Amino acid sequence: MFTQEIFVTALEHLFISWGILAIPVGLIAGVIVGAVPGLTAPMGVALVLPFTFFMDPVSAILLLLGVYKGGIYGGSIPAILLNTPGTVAASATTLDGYQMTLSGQSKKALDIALISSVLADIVSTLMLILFTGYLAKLALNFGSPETFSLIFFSLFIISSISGDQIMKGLVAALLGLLAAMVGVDSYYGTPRFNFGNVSMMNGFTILPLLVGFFAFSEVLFRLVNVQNKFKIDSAQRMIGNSLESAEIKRLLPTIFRSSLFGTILGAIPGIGAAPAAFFAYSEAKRRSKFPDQFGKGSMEGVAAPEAANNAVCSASFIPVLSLGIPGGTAAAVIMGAFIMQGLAPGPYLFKENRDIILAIYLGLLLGSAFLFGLGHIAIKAFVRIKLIPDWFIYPTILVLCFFSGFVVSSSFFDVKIMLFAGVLGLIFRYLTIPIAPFLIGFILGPLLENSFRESLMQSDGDLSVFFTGPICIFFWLLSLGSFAFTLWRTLRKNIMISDSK
Amino acid sequence: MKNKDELKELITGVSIITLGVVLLKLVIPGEVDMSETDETTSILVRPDFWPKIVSWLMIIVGCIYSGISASKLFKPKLASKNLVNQSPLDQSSSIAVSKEAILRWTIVAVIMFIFLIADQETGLLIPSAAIFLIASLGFSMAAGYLRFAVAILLPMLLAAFFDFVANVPIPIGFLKFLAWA
Repeated sequence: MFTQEIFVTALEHLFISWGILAIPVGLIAGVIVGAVPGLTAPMGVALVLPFTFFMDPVSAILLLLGVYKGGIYGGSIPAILLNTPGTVAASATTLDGYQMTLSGQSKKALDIALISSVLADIVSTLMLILFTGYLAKLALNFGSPETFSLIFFSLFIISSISGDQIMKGLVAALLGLLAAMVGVDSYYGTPRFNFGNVSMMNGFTILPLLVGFFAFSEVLFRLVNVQNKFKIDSAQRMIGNSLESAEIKRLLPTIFRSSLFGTILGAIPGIGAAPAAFFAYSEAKRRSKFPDQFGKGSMEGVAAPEAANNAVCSASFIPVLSLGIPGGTAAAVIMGAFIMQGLAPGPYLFKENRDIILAIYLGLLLGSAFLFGLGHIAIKAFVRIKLIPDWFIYPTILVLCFFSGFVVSSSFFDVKIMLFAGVLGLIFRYLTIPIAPFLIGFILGPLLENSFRESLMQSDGDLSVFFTGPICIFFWLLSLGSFAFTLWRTLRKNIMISDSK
Repeated sequence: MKNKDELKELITGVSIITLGVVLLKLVIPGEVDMSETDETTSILVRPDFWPKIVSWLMIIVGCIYSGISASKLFKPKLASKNLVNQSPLDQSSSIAVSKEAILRWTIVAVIMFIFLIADQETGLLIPSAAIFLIASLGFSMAAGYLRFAVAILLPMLLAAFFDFVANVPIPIGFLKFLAWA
């Protein structure tokens, strides 16, 4: 497929046309964007897009890809250190990443995020190179019933994140689905749950909700704690040790598995990095020998979502390159860059511009190496955040929340939403209701509803459409198996406790 | 303490049931616009179908949750020792009346009030400075004058970053006389 001549031309694009410089520049910009709550990776890509007008195609595409990858990785840094996901995709990382920080292991958590991101990036890029054709065919097999069964399974697994308290998880998930319904009906465009408020026509924006739930409620919680039992103590101020090689080996299966999930889900248009991260998290928990540790500082709980969300980056280009369909928001922006450069994304790109495709592939692989080096530098800088005194760091987080809530849509309504989410987060803490199911219910709710309605429209109301096809049956069996396992575990624990009494 | 947890869970379950019923009877009929549909529209694709599904699921889950909580409450032997799930906020004896508690809750209330009233007129800068100052008092009295410097500089730096680098205009409200207004 790639001849020697094409290979030489691709190397010229990289090294003579300075395409190789575009990667680290893009990564640096992306990490900064991702580390600032309120700025998303797609937003960073859109901001950089105008600068690519004057660049050659390879440099332009690699710059934008660097921003995207850096942004997705950068979101993990505040997620781990400050319980504030820098991007939507990093929201699953907060669940265990911040707990590791509280136990004085912030350096280890950041190392896990970096290594998971880099390895997943390599896996995903290799999969992109080797299997673009095959993966595009698999993505085409995911119709509405398959999407519905997948999301139902993800929601169910995430609800059991709270271990024995599956009911609380289901309550949170249902509240998330309810919040997702605010706005307009996706088919008829008619208002739904707006209460006459024009600002609610577009529904709730996800980032203010995330920032409110995680960061704002965290600071409020620390403020109201009267006895200072949860004040940061000297242990939490410790940066901790770096990740050891034995620990890396132990995490490799989780990273590899999550990379595969992220790649497959990223290849499906519309799924996105956040659902992939939560799905990988839930799978890692289900397979773990210590599932009770999830949510309390499990290393697998950091590795899984970080691997999955970074794997989505390269995978979201599989449908772009093979079908001319963007796999996500950032992929759509980058597809615009392709078109601006006079390239037609899709199958014809492989026929007409193989040298550019190969240069992009090589650039992506080099990008993983750059990400590893850049990440180490970023960690050394950001990990010192925990040494900053409370009176500075938490009020700074509040101010950052305030700005973050506004800048997403330049709307003060989003600031109110963040306030509401912060209060709700505090109530959830008081009632020990987990936040993750609420958020995943909110993120996946529209997809769940649309796939449900589309399936029924296609089948003229025949519910059996959800139970035909091997992919659907596979996910329903997984859901049933998980429910039975959780029920068995709960009953066994209750019996053991009553016996001990 | 154990009974208090079960009571809290029972109240949560009943609240979820109530929310589901309120959604079904009041909110969905009033707030879901059905003007684009008519009698021939299949029930499965009407705008109120999915909200009704979620409402019914809330009622069912709420009933199960309330049932489990009630059984734990009225049959204490079956209650689990799930101390991990005890809320760290549930320090009932300490929250009530101490001066420090009142001060902290007042600080939280003021911060929330600032978030609530912020708009184009107030801008982001002055409310941010106020939030920083008030919150820093809640964490420590020892910061001295440094906190005032940070309270002024931090919002300005953030505003400059978003304005000039991220191209997101930041409303500065009362401070329109500033150079970049």
